Amino acid sequence: MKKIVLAAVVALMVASVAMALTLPRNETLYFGGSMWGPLTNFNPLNPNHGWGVDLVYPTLFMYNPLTNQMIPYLAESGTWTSNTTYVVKLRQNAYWTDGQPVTAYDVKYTFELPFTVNQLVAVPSLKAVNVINDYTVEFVFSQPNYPNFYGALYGSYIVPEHIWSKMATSDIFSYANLTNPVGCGPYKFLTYNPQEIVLERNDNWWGNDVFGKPAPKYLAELAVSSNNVALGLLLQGQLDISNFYLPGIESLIKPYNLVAWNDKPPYMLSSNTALLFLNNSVAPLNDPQFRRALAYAIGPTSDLTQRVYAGQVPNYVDPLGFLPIESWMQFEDKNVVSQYGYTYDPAKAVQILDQLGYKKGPDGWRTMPNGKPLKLSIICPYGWTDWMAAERIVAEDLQKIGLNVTADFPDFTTYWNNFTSGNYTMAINNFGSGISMTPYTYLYWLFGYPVEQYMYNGNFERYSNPEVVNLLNKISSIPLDDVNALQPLYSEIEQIFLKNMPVIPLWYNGMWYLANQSVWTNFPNAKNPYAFPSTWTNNAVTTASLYLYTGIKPAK
Amino acid sequence: MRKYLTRKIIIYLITFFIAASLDWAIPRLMPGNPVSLIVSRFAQASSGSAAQASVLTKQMFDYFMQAFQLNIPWWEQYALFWRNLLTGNLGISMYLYPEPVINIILSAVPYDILFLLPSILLSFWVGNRIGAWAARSKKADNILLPTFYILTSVPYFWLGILLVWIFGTLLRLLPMSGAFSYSMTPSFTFAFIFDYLKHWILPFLSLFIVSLGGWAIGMRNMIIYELESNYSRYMGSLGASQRLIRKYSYRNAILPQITGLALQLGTIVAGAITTEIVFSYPGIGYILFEGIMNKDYPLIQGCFLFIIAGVLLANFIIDILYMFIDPRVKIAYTEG
Repeated sequence: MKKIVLAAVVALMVASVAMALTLPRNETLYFGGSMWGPLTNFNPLNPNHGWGVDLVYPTLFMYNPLTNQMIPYLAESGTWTSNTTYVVKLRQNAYWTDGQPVTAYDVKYTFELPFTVNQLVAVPSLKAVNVINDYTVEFVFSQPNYPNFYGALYGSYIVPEHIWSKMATSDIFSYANLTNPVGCGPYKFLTYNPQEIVLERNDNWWGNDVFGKPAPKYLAELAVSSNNVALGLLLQGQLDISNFYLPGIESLIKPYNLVAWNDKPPYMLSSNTALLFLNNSVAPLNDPQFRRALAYAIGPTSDLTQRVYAGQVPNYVDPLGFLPIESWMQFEDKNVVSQYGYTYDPAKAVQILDQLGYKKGPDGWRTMPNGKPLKLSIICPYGWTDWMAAERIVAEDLQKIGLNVTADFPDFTTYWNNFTSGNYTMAINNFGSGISMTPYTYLYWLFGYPVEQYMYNGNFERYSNPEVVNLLNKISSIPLDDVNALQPLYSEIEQIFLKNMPVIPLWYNGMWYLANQSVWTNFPNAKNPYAFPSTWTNNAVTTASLYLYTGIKPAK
Repeated sequence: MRKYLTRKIIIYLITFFIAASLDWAIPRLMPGNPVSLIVSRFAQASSGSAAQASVLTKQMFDYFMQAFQLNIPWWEQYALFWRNLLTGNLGISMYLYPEPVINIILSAVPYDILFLLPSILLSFWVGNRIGAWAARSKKADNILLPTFYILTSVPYFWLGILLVWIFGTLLRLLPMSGAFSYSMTPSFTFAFIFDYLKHWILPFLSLFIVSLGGWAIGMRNMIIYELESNYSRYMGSLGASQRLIRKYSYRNAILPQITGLALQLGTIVAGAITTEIVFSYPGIGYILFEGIMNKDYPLIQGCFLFIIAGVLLANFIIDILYMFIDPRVKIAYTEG
């Protein structure tokens, strides 16, 4: 009996040695910054999927914000054949990892799923997706919403019809997809544990000839629960790329020979804009003049970023909050900004408030014109340390012009509930201001949603102006490259924005990116900008980061 | 014996009922709706194509309210909670949707047990021994007592960061984070076990050292009390050896310590939140923390149910053990 047990134990040990996987360091790229807990699903249709979905399930196009270009990915080309029809020709050499070809039926299936699965959202005004032949597919619209359709072209992961269509409709959204997912990307899902997700290179990938073969055999995304751990791993060379926000890192870039996007401040690219939302439905924030006074007190060029981010992000923000990328900036009307814009000018703010009749009371704080006390509060989630520091500075700026403003830090759920239900006066947020192909996404997020009891998607400031909504609707129906038709519409919105200041841009949030060169080199940076340096998942432009994996080289 | 057990079991069942009910109620008393939080993450994730999100979140909100049965009256939710609990169903996590709570807990618990059980038991054993020794040696006591006081009041996470700095950053002897190397996948191999042990040392030490102080102080004070008690003096006057007296007083002094141990063991499944965050250790403490931050009712409930069950079970076992280590208990129930 003992012998049998012993033999079984030995056999088990031997078997497990054979099965054990150890990632060779020189063939593995370690990175982190978008995984805060264990992986729970790898379902590309569920917006809350784990990291790496974009490398297993390609999109039709990639969007590179650095060059403002759409790059054909699964598609070979795409053209408007009429005002309402867009035809995509697919690459004929693309295959799923189970050997099946990627065809027009997969595209049709993916884009038409929202018609039956009600947790998914269809492209607005998309009527049908028609298969012309195995590799040609046609999108038919009633009236295309260009920004959203282009967003879907580079943001919708294509899934294999021959596998997903076997599932019950009700299971599709909640399907975990953690056992041997079949994709057609440069990497395959290999394994996961509470500490990481590991992808393995698909050596027979159809795209090797088109895009180049990715250098790392394994990609490992690490779940790291605190910044100090991430910092230690990066400095020791156990983490190759950090997309974490690491406070104070600016002093360590040179000593540790880390790669940042720029080799002098600002070290980081900009990823989104953080704004101060003013609740336009409550007095005195319902007064555009009062809001403009706040804008002068805070300004687009105060010392806020220097004090909070110490050179990691730019020391100014665009008065409209437009990101410094070509796709957005091309539509900023410099004349409008110089005519209606604002500067950092507390004296001017004081002057406006005095004129409006917000006089100082006996306690030194300004009161409402009718003499009632005036008390404002700014909220941001507790524990978001950089935001908390920024919020204190904004509160100080406003206190300097005599306003009784407190900086408050509720926990995230309370913050979110108050923010979405309009139960706040001022709040910091950046959820919808991320990089995209057109400033329409940003402006729609700010002003496009009609005011309701709960605002989950945007217009958190509850600004109600039918004119702006009308302009946004017009913009959405014009092709993105028709600059001449778009510019007057954008100019008009920008003018309304600056005259009313429903929100005040605060700072550019960084695309946090640092790389340690001990195992891999040739990381992208401003001098060698071949890829957008993001491994984040919730960024619709992540697919273009494919070039990051094909571009890096082993150090030895 | 039977009377003792029956009584204990009834008390434990009542305690469990009350504790589990509180466990159900307390997360729901927190302000804020967890579903709006999930929806906020979906809104963020789909920010690239903003205008699409409008329909999305409304449908999502209704979908999740229904999926987590938050749209039914509270008493129905409560009844459902008990029905699910009695059928072994802990529900689906909201924060880690769509993962069942039981899977999350089971995947994290082994790390906690392997790391907390040795540190609790060893610190208990070593702490009591040192404490007992300090109690009878004036010289040792003068040095050890202040040391223990410092140790026991040191925050776990502070000591953890200090250890990481010394052994990880300065000496580079031991890994700084994780339960195993990122290049490994968990498997039953020598390489993995060795790697696991290397990662285990620092978190273990940070807990071991801090809890050591507490046990030692407790033991020292108990022993001094016992050595002063009437039975010790009586034994002394009968001419018993110091060694024998110490042996008896140790047996008496350890009783309250064992109760403390039971409570500690019971909370093993709760993990050690701060230590796990400092070391990025994939235990249940971190998950529970995230669950609370995200108002994940099923996950919080599940974790606390494990804690409740753990504490009750550990106490129950200790109650039974008491009959053997403290004959007075047995006599009280067999003769009374």
